[in-house]
Amino acid sequence: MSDREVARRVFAREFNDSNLQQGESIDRSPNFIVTPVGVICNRVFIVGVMTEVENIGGEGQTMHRARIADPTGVFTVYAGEYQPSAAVFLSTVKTPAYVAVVGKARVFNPEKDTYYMSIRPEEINLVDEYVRNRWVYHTALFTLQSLRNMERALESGLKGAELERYMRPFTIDSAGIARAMDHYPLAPDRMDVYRRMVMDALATITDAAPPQETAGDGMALAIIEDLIMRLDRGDGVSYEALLEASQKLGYDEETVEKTLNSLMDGGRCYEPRIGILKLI
Amino acid sequence: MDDSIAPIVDELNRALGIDRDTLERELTLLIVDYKVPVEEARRSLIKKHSKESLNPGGEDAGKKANDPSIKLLKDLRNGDTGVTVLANVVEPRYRDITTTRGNVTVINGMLEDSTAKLHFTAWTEAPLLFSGRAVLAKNVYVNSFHGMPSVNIGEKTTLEEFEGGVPGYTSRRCSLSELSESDGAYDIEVEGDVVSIRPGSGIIERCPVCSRVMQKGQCRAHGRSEGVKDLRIKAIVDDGTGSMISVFDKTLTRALLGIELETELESGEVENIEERLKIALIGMPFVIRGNVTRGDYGRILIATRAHRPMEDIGKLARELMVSLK
Repeated sequence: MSDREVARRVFAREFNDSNLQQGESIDRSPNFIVTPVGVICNRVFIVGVMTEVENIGGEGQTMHRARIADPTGVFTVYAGEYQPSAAVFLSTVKTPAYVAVVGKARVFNPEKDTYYMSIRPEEINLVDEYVRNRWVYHTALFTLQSLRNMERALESGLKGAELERYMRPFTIDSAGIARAMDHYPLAPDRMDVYRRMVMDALATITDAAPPQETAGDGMALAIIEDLIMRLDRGDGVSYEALLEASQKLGYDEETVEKTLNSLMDGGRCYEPRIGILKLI
Repeated sequence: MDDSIAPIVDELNRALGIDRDTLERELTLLIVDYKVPVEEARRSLIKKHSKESLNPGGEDAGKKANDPSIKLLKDLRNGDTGVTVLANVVEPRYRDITTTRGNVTVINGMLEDSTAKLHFTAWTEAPLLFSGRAVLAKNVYVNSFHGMPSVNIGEKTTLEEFEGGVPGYTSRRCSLSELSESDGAYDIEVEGDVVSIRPGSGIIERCPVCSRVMQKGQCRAHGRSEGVKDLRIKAIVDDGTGSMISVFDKTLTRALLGIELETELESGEVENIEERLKIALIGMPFVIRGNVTRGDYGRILIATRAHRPMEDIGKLARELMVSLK
């Protein structure tokens, strides 16, 4: 069983600046692209705002092209007949919308020196603003780490196989870094450009709202309902016993009361005697 | 790895050429377990290793065999032998088990240090394990038990009471890349995004005899019978460093899905369950606590708790920007 490719987190600008492919010659082996900061990606996970969907299919075939913006640029996603569920999603989604995409990185190279980067979706789904903000933050962390690796590589003065060996203890991208150093033009301010990109991306989420409390409610509901079921030996559960068990799982009295109220409102639990709870 | 450790590992690895695992282990022991100041830990390692690299082999090798360094529990691998560990003994108890050589009484329980908690079995009488103190166990061996590494205390093991006290274990946050290379782990936590829902998620039927999942009303061990309905999710969780199949039982499934969808699912009237699960979960981040077991089908994260991350992203972003200025 071969290992599943990890879904890399990269910003649109770094992704779109890529024009280096790796591994295309071997049959059935995955295709990789190497970004200018040496990240080797086959599968990517991106979250952004879907701003536009176009049906660009010709006669009798469907092909959707969607644009997904992050703070640094725009990802292009293509879905055709071999991505049926993504195609259904794209034909019904209303823009703008926060979406998450898991997919494979593709390079289209119609003529010399012209490269179009895109993503072929495996999964696509609606998410919310919190998920997007969290993705920007985590992608910033990953990108900063890649930039640090790249700086270390530059400082070493090494190249090729020697550089790859030197970088191996620090990152899974050692091969990518060695290839990127060879392939991409090395302007001295290059890493600064991407560092600024990360800072600008972070600046867009500094006043992000904390996640809404309601996100946790479903969790409390399910867990407390489950506790009532487990603790019930036939004649219900006392409120005290339930509270004690809930507190062990990290729920305070207020949450327990609130949750019990919504369970009762929802007709899922009742109070046969005062202070005794039972599921319906 | 602790933040203060990584730079020293880098530095000493370059300066002295000592392998990174050894450095990380020794530094963690000094800094995390023994709370030695960082600078002092660095100094003592430089001293120790520069001496070692000056000493010619023979004598040095002999000394090492008598004084093997202590291994952190998180670094134990199936098949390790002659290992020394320093750990707290948690909930030891006698148990009668049946083996190929007849019935024996063993001592079962858990061992913990600050990096991991593992199951152990003592095959010989060892009252010291009940002393309530930490033990220094020399010459233990490691094998797989329930898909996780387990420490075995045998006849060749020597046990010493350790007066100093060892910091206990609280569920450790791990990257999926670390777990993808482990032989299993007990009570760890990961944070990742759901990137795929596997077949066999949703309403399933279990064999009433053995609880195996049944295919088309058939159990592969007990044949056809009336299955017991159950609810579970098998999802692939990816944190950007690695990915792993994660299994959520009925309680967690309903917790993740919300009561409405779960009620609908149980009514048996939902069409296209897989699609509904995907809509509820794909792309969503979760903090998952549980055990990683390593078996015939690879590694699986068996979730015991899960919740949406609730971090204040705005605050984290501001702090990160300040640290970069």
